Amino acid sequence: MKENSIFFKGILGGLQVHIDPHMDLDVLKEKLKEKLVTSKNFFQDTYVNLVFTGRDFQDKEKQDLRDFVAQLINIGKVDFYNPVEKEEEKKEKLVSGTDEGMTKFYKGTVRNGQRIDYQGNIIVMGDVNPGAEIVAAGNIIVLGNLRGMAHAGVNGDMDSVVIALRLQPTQLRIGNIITRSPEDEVEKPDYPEIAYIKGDNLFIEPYIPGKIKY
Amino acid sequence: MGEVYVITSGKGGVGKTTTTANIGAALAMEGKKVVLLDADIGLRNLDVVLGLENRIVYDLIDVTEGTCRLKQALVRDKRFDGLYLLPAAQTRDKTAVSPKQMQDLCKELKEQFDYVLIDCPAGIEQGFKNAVAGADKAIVVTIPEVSAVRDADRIIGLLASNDLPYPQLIINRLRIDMVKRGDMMNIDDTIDILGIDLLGVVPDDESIVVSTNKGEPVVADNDSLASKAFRNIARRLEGSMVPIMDFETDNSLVDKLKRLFGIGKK
Repeated sequence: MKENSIFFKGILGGLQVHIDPHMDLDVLKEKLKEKLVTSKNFFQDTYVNLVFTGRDFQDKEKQDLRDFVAQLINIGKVDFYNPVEKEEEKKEKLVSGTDEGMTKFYKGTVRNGQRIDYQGNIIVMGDVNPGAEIVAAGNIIVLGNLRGMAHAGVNGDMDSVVIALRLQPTQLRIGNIITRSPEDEVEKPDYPEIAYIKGDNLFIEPYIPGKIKY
Repeated sequence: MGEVYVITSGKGGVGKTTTTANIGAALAMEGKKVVLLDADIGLRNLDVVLGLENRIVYDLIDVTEGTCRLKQALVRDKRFDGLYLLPAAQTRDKTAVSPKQMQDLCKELKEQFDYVLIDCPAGIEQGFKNAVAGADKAIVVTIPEVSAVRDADRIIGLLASNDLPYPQLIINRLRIDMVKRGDMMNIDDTIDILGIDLLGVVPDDESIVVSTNKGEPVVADNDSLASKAFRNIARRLEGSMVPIMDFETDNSLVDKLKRLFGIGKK
């Protein structure tokens, strides 16, 4: 494992240097020098962009490393990536903007007690029965009856919408707004409907293709 | 300091949930502060029977796992003041909570409420153990059928080994006409086998099915026999001496006349 305390990975326009998080900075520099010197010819005529990752660097360490590497090879841009930060960024990327991103397709009936939880959009090709839960970071589309609970924009995205061919949920949530169906049930419409947030209120309207204003 | 009752039966489908909802509602009508705790995690029904399904935001597991405060998870009933529901989680299973957590939860609840009624799941496994863990007293529900009484007997034994030695009995869904014909076990037969105190007898009543499907407790309806039976049970829990309704003698006008002339049975 000691051998792999530093390893390089080619990335677009440069190199990613992955570092063992428990390594002492001086040992690190020594190892780095070893590796870079042996492949010096390879880097000779180019500027190399470097991304250090694998551990949390302090500002002073960053400067130190930057200077150190500059003595060995021609460096371009040097970046530092905290792996934890990276993870959060990735998550953020998935939820920001409901117009594109990851989508989960579920084929079949979602039954009482089942829960579909996804950091993206969810499309259910089937019914969602009472007692079932659909929880998405983005939009929820049900190509069938939605009778259970649906929560769109669970991380706070108020632009998320819920569309169902028959929208009769026990409870509907978008972002941090929670609504429930009226107590004395009016007649159930037999056309697709859309739920969205405008201001602080959740609106439900017939879904008419092309007339998108949400 | 309130009291924690667990409502259990062993066998499924004998009316634990309906009984819990109705006794709770009846106690609330008497002006008590009552919380109904659904311990049937993964197969919750109490919220549906009470018509509160669409108001649930947090549940029992959210409380025990610390996702929310206890107060946030309590759902206030829409008809009866002082009646609250602590719903079970639906997308989890019985192992999501431990008997110790249930004890702590019951302790916290009985400080705020006069009555804590726990709706126990069917069976004798983990769910049962969780439900009885925090209880001070037990109510056993059975129906007058040999298999249900057999299971009730098993449950009474298990309750005794869980420090709940004197459960009270509710005989549910008694078919008066069948008992009269001698086709069904009567009250005395049942008590004879189980040997515990009778808390009440609830006759089989169509209005229960109607009210359960509508999501409102039957005690809200004053006319039905079952409603009266549940209200009597609540008053007995409160310590009043209310005699068990006499179902077995006929009280129709014709019978009264027959008795008057000495031609009816007794």
